[in-house]
Amino acid sequence: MSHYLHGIFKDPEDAQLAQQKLQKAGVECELISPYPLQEIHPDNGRSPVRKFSLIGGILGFIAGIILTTYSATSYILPTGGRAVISVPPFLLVSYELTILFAVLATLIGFLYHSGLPAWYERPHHEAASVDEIVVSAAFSDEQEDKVRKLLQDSGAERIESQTLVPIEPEHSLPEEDAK
Amino acid sequence: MNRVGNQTPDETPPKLADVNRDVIRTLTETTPLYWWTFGIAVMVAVLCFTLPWAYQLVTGIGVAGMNRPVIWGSYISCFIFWIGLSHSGTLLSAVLHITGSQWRKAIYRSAEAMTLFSLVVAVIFVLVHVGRPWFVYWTIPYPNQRELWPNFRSPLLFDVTAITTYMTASATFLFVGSIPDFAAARDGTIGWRHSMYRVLSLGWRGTQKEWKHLGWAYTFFAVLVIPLAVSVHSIVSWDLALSIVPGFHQTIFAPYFVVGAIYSGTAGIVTVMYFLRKYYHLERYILPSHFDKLGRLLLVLSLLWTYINIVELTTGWFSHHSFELEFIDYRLTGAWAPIYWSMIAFCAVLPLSLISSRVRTNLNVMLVLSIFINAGMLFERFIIITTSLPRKYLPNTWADYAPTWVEYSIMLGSLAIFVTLFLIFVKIVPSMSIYEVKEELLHNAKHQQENKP
Repeated sequence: MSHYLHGIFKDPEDAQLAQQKLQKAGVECELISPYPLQEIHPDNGRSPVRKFSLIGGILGFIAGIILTTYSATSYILPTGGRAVISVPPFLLVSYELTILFAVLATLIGFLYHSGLPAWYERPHHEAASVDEIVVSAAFSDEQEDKVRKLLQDSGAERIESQTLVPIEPEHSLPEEDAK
Repeated sequence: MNRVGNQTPDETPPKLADVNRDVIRTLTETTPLYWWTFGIAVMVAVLCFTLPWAYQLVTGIGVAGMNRPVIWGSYISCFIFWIGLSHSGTLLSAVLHITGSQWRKAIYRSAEAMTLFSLVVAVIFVLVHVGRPWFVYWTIPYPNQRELWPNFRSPLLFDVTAITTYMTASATFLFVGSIPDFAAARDGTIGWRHSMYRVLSLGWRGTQKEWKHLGWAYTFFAVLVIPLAVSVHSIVSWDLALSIVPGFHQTIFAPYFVVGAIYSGTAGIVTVMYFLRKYYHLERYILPSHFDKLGRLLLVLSLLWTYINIVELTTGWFSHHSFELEFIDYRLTGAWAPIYWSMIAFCAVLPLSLISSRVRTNLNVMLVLSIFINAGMLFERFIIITTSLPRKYLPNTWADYAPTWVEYSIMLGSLAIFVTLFLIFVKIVPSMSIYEVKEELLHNAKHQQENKP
């Protein structure tokens, strides 16, 4: 079982300070908020999602060129005096596929790096969906007092605990059967 | 729909918790008027759209008024109209996101939904227009036993590619932007709604890692969607402009269609905003200042649209090309001239009143103007099709076109389909972005704090 303490803050800066103190003390914690905290995170760093967009776009363009030229040469249908492989219209189709693939790759990149979808139980407090900032800290039994004190000293309005039961594999055999 | 609750309009800025409560209330509280409106919309969609279309499928496409030389009629006009209406939602949302406009936040979600449902209705019109819609899968490129591949040199295939991409991108943009709000709805509801939002929110919690990746992904979507939206209506215009028909073969068609699309879409947003504000009691979020800004945008677009119309006519006129002159004469004085001049009145003359701030902040006047503009834009698409095709190069084929009752009925039914889809949307997806409105409120509060003497 995993134990979590949620320190609930009104002030984002207090929550940020609490997170820093906990991290210094070697406690694993997350800052959960109802909106992105750009003010106290002036530089959140670059997201690897952008690489997905770029690679998706390049693959889309190549896919567009291959699709148009392959289909034109597989079924030759001269129309309007145009060349079988007509560059302007094929570039147009490739342009659309560039965007399509870039959008889909960005979506995949966002989901992958955010760890979504995750429909199982994770540390969470409903206050972080409304108007409060939650510092969610994982602790072992001997750390509880220290974590609680750190959160209180940092200005937490209240502290609540959550215990998560790890997900058992559905078809795990009883120990004796396994033997 | 009806006003939810008994609150009176309150001009004080809401608190963050109010935003959750007010938006979730729009999802959970349903009044009898909502059900009546929904029921009527479904009934009209079935009676005016599904049944006449079934009649057309059984009897044949001849029940519509299309015939040589007018082989495109009201269906293609409606297709272009609905594609156009889809334009401002995602495009405006993306442009305002990139430019960091705070006022976008209360209105963009519904605008994006408008985009998606307009696209759905537009695609339905393609199916209605073709004689044998069961063969529409022939436009999809895949290896098949027929050994046929679509012709990618045709503008119609550009259309298939562009609209598929636009629909996918718009749906993704809308869904990803809604994930944090689905999570807020999950935490604020119980029962089956809680289960539904649990699935839709994908397990979102609001950690800084999730926010960071969402911010980047969302900005990339916005950047990708802007050129896409411009390309989509350019491509729709090339369905016409790449032919040699007088009235169609115009180099100005791509910008003309794009400006027209944004114009009609912005007017559509005004209409949707009006009803959401009034019947969902969102007066504290959708402010007269939002209508004021949309009004300014409409005025600029109206002037651009008028300019392009003048250019379209004068270039044909200066050419002294006899068929161009015949087409211009037919458009200005022919069978559909009353519709043409109504279009000019609705889209070029009436919107000039938006120069007055009293008009822009009078919401009832804005509603009426937005409806007139969209009626004018529907006329525009109709006029383009029905005054060009009847006057092609062979005078012995000249003929007039008039839609039949089946076409009029399907046009009305398509509006009911759009209303039905939108009514379903406002009960499932938070119609206003919860987290972005909170950001706007915090931004305004900070701004006020800084400006205090």
